[in-house]
Amino acid sequence: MLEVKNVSYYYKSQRDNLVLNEIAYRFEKAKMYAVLGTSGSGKTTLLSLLAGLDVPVKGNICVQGEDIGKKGLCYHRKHNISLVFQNYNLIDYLTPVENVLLGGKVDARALLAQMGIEGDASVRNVMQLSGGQQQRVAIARALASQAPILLADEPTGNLDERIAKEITELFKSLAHEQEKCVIVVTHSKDLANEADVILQIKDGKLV
Amino acid sequence: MNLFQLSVRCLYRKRVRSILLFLIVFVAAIFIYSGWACQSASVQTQNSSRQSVGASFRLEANASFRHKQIDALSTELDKKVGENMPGNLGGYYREQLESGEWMIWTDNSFETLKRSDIEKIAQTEGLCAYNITTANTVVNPVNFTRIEDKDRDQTSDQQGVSLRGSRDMAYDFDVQKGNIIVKEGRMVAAGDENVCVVSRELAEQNKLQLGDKLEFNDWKERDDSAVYSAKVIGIYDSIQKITPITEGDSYRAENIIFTDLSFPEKAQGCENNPLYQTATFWVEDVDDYEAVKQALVKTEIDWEQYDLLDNSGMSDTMAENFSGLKSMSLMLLCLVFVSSIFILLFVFLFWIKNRICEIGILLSVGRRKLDIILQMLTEGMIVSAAAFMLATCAAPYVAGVTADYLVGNQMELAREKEEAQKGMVSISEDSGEDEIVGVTVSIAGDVIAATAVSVMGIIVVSIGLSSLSIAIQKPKNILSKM
Repeated sequence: MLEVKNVSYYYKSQRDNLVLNEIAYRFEKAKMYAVLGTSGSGKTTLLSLLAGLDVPVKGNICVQGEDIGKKGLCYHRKHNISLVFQNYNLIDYLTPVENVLLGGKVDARALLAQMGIEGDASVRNVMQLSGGQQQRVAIARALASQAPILLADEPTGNLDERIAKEITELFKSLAHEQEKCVIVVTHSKDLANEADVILQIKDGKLV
Repeated sequence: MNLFQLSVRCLYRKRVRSILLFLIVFVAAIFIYSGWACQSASVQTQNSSRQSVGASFRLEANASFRHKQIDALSTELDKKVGENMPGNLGGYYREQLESGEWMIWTDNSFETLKRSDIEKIAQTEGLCAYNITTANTVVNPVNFTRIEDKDRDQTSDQQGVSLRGSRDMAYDFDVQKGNIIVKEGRMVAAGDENVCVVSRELAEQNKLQLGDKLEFNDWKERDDSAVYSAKVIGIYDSIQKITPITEGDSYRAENIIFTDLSFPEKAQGCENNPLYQTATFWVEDVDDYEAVKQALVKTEIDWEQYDLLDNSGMSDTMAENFSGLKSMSLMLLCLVFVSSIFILLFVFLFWIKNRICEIGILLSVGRRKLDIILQMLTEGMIVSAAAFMLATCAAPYVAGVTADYLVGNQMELAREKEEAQKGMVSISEDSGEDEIVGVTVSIAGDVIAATAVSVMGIIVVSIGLSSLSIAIQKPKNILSKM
């Protein structure tokens, strides 16, 4: 599904210090992956490359065998992946329904209802929702694009234990029931333990 | 959700920001309107000496033709008598003074309007009357004393009085304007000879009565020149003092004596060599004004030597574009353009900084940077359109006020300059004074279009420049700032 081929990355100001060093890996659909690593190990950089928010200095990233740069990174972000961030990242002047519609043309209310956000909560300003509700809206927006790959950066980082568990279950079900390829970058051992595959970045290598 | 839907929601739900932008664009649009409107404004000036009552045309000598003639006669005289040699030709004189300097002057025959041309014009169908007026001619008062201000410096004055000859005094422009009224006796009429009308002040000082004879001669040869007398047939009262054209009392309002047309030349010692300065022609029916004008200019005379001034009498003015207003409004436009772009640039930069999270989200869901910039442009355009519409309603008033201010400012500067130069430069005879009587500013289609394009341009440039910060950054860098 999503293949990383000998990808290397360094920051322009630190050319000698490879953040990612010849990483090669193939992510499959219907599986949930957890990427672990210490701070600064390159987890978020890998996620950015997978999301097409940046380009590797060496190597390729392919979806269904095709380089993501071929059709353009905007196309890749729109059709192949969906992103969930630690800080929820919702547009503050839109309602939950409208935020979900940014992801794609779907029945936003139904999708939000699946996430447990119904009634008045779905049309009020997103800033008036709790952290857990905001993260659910963000996930609903990610699902609205109907992209086969879901990338999440510390999705439970700002949530309490109960909500974090619910979100983790949600990711698992997306992988197993909707056959999505879910890749979660996290520090959380609990979340990682729920994943089908745990990967660790160490010294720029994926192990 | 398309970018228009997002733009509308953003503007509606971020009202404070939208209102701020609206106010900035509104103020900018108002000033731009004022600038463009002033570019095409016309200023009604009123020349106090040229204004006359009734529809009329005024014939004067053309100044540039005069200079051309002087050059031509000078060249011809060089050929005739040799370069740097004294001589005269066609009323042009060249003489070397004892000091070695050259003096050049012209006589009446060179300066006068041709009577034959005036009479040809007077034949034009549709004219009901005409008048010829001589230049104010300084002569020496022989048997009376002039009005004099003892405190005034008279060293450069000719120590005389002024004679103004008229074919028909009733058509003199000071009589027509109501500056003077003859309350005793009568005015000079066509066909009169050796008659005059004096001021009340002059009459009282010299105890003059109707029928008395005043004597005059050439002020340059007071003791030797021939003396001419004119009978006093009227005494006039000044309602509005005639503005003297130079310092000294020779041209003082009370010392102006109205005479028949040929008297000034005699008293000046130039009999049969008159100096007709202006001729005025009156239109019988005001409604035929344009038709008479068309017919009049077809008169077969050498028009190159004349200016025909379009005095439309009661309609008070000759409208002309005021170049000072044009340049000041251009400056205003440039100032508003530059300052608006700068202010809006900073507003949009601040706007983008506060919207970095939104931009990152939109990039992460696959929106192109161009779409995001277009969304901001759409927001800018929507607000600008509303501000522009309100500005269009307010523009006629604000543009009028601005134009008045600019013209007033310009006139104030001119007055200050005139004050500073007072006594340093000579004032042409009978120049009159241009007075601003109104500024017409109209918000026509071209002004609206120019303002719309300008406002749009300012928005596009400021959003374009501020958007460079998005365009040059990688999506990852934008997201890292969230």
